[in-house]
Amino acid sequence: MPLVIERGGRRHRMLLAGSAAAGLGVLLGLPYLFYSVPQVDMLSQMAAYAVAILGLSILMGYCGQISLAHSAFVGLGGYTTVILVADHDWPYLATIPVSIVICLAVGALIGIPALRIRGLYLAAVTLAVAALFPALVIRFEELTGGTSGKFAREAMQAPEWFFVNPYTRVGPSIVRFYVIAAVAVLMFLVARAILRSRIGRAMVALRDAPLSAAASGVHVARVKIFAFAISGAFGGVAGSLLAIQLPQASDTRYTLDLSIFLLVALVAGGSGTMLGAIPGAIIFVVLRTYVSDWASALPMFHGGDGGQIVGIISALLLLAIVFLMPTGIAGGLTRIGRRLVRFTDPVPRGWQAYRLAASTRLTSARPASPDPASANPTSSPSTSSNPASPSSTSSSSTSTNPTSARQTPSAESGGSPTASSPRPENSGATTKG
Amino acid sequence: MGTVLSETARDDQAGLDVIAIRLRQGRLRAVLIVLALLAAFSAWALIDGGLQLYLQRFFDGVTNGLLYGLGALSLVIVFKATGIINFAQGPMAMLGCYLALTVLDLGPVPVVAAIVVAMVLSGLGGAVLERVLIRPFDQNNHMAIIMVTLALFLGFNALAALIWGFHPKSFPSPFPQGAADAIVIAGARLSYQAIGTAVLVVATVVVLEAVLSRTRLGLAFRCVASDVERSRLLGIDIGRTVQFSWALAAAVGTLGACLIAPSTYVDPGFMNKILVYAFAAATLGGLDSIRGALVGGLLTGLSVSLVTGYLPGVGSELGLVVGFAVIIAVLQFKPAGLFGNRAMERV
Amino acid sequence: MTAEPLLRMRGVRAFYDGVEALHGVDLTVDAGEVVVILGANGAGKTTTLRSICGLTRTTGEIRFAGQDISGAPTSSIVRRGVAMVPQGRGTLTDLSVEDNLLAGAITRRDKDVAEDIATWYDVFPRLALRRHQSAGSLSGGEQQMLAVARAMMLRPRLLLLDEPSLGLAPVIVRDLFDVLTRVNRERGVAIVLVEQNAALALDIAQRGYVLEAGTIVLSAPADRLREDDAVRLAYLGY
Repeated sequence: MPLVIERGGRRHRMLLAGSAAAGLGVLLGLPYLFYSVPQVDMLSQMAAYAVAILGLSILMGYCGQISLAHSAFVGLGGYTTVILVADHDWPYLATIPVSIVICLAVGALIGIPALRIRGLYLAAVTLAVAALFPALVIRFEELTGGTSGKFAREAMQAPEWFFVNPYTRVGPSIVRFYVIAAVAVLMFLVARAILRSRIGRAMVALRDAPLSAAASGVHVARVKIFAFAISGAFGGVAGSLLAIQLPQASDTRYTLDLSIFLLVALVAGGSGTMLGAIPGAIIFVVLRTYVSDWASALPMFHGGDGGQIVGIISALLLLAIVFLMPTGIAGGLTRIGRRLVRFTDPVPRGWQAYRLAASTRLTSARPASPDPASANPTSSPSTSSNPASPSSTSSSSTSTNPTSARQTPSAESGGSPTASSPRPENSGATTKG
Repeated sequence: MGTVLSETARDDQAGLDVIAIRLRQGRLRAVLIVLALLAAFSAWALIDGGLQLYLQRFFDGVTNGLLYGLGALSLVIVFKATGIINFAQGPMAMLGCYLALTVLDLGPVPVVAAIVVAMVLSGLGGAVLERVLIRPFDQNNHMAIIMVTLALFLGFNALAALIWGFHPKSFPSPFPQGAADAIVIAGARLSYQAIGTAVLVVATVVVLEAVLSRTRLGLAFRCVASDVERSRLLGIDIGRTVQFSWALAAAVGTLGACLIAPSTYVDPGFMNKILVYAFAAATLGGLDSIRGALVGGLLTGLSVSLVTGYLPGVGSELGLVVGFAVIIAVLQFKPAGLFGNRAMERV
Repeated sequence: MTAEPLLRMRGVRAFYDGVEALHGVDLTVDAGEVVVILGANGAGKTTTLRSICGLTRTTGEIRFAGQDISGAPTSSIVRRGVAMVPQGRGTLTDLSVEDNLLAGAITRRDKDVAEDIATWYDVFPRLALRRHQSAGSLSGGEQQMLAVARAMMLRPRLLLLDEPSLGLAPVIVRDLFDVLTRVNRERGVAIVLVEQNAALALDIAQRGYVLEAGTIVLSAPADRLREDDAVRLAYLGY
């Protein structure tokens, strides 16, 4: 028995407010639930990767463009933050806007070849970008520290007045978690705004029916470039957030493998949804930390590199999802959710103005002389057919009887076509000879 | 009967295939432009560095290029039959190479035999792969198939690292590899191995073209490459034909990896960079052209070798950048590639 | 006819993505017959042909040469002797004319393929002239000839043609239909012809069906159809 909620209505707003409050509570309380440095650090990573996966979801899930270049953007953001903090003493948070700008620019640049190519080809080109990034890092050693990587001396610290006690062992990690989570929530809100805007809908149109979209006036080039740029920016923010959590950047951290792992996480969590980024990020981090440690400890692999087993498991996971559950976890949850709650759209106000047939009666409801009436069987049905008539509902408010208000327009428009079918309401006089 | 047909037949014997002629002219022009660019660069390089350096770079470029071409060939074979790019091609070839190494470890086996065994085994592996992981999906569901190939990319890389670890291994060459085993031209060294490899690659392409144009299976392949549904109406078993293409691509890939291996160390990642060059070669030549793969490979190899050898700012890591630049340039100017017929549609 | 018909469709429903396009079609074709299917656009004529070839999801019974082929894969159906010339010719544009003909015979194991090719070059000399050109560079009429020759290379028992006259000059259409008649009379190949050019089709057919919105509304011998008022009005234009 699904609960029916009208969008925009009071129940809906209460539901949203309630979930937001619950979400906030969860975020605030989580670090105290997992009260240890490595676990809180993991939570921070989850939040950061959620942003990255969200960016990928915008590009791949909503806009339908395949991109494997995401690791390059995460790397760009990470290096930007670490370099600015380590070499130029910037405060951590201030580096985020810089990451955004740089990644927007680079993202737009990458969007340009995307204008001409689609699908697999695009995937391959972006793959080349991802493969290129570590090579570029090595090439520009003076800036990036090359293969030895770059570190900042001190991870982000909280100011004294912050409500979390920075002097406990876990304190600094918790502070970082709150900061990262706050930025992540902000990014989610930004994503939501973008996806609901015109350009967001243009992106979906581009994914589902590119030719129709172009024919309808969607400016394909602009939308594609925008999608790449925005997705890149999200990746960059994620990279910066990761650097906030752990200010280390090296060429091995942002490889093509990262892109593929992010893809696995996206698909597992559910692409084409925003909230899917969260289970995706959880799976991602769990795979790379817990599963990796667990695998290394297995006697059968005698201390072999856990990372490889993670690779195999991720590969199997991706295969399993593609075969069994293409919509990912979010997709599955949505389906369950639909059994519990169903959203309906409210009847728009003033709908009567858009009906095809007039609501006023013609001069007489009684059949007049046979000829004029039978000559125009089409005009009369719209007037005399419905005693439960339009003129009475035109003044009523829209919310009272959505279903019956809907029925009348269809009955009326059903009245106009083929004169050959008998119109029961018009009794004898107007049937044609 | 047939009056209209036989009458007009006499009329246009001359202006027969205007379209085909125009196509050939366009293609020729594109190839000439690329060759002209290379020639110009070569002229500058010769003046700048002298003959010996240039020849060395030229030989290296051609040798590498042919190997990129072989990698491109694998990509092209799968693309022609299915319209998809197999991202796992690199790791599959790498596994094939490790297979050969395993065979060699088993006993005193000649290198050639090990390579052949590895090729056969990887061919079988490719066939199984197609049947199990690719065929269940609708051919047009590119997203799903990309995911599958990416999963294989991840999985195979990890599998190799797990089984054989990251210690670089060396791979023996089927050709004599000594320091003296080379011909020297104007001071530049062209090793027997390079010559042997080149001959082998060209032979592979020739054999492949022969198989495709003269055998029934080859005809079926070309039909499927042209149009899948119309091929169905001919009674062709699409699944088996696609399976054949995967098997073929896997075998060719393994051959390529085994030929590349002697000049570099074998480790789980060694084919990944090659994939970028192979893709550049395939793009340049045309993803649906067998001949194009070879020519594209040559041109890519030459470009990479010359640019990295002569331009000061560009170190050897940036060979990848050159490969990337080739891809972008092709997509910008001639998206179907030099010999290809199918451009990616733009919207 | 006392013997079982060559092709029998009973209660066939066809689906595209869950939408039902044919609502229980009953159709028979006897060996050596020419049957025409008439109907407006969207009536389901192409769907009917595709169902016979196994290209569409169907329920119901389809029997060919005494065997049940409903649900069989297309390659198996073709191998039993059903050749289709789809709408738009169905030639393989990347291959040469000769390769197209060879492809038509790709399922044959006998040694007469070369002889058949020579025969068809005699019937269509223009094809012989262009035998090494790519099929995509041929004109519409030539492609249609190639398509028919290619289908006949299978030595089928049943030939399906989907709107062969579409886009062709009338004089070429006339010659094409001559060839079809010859094929039917000299080789005993049964033909199912989907045509909008009803007049010409009814001239060479023995029987016809009229399909409307996924159901057969009329099934009669060809001359009866030619005289039928409704058919004349709707499809013959007078």
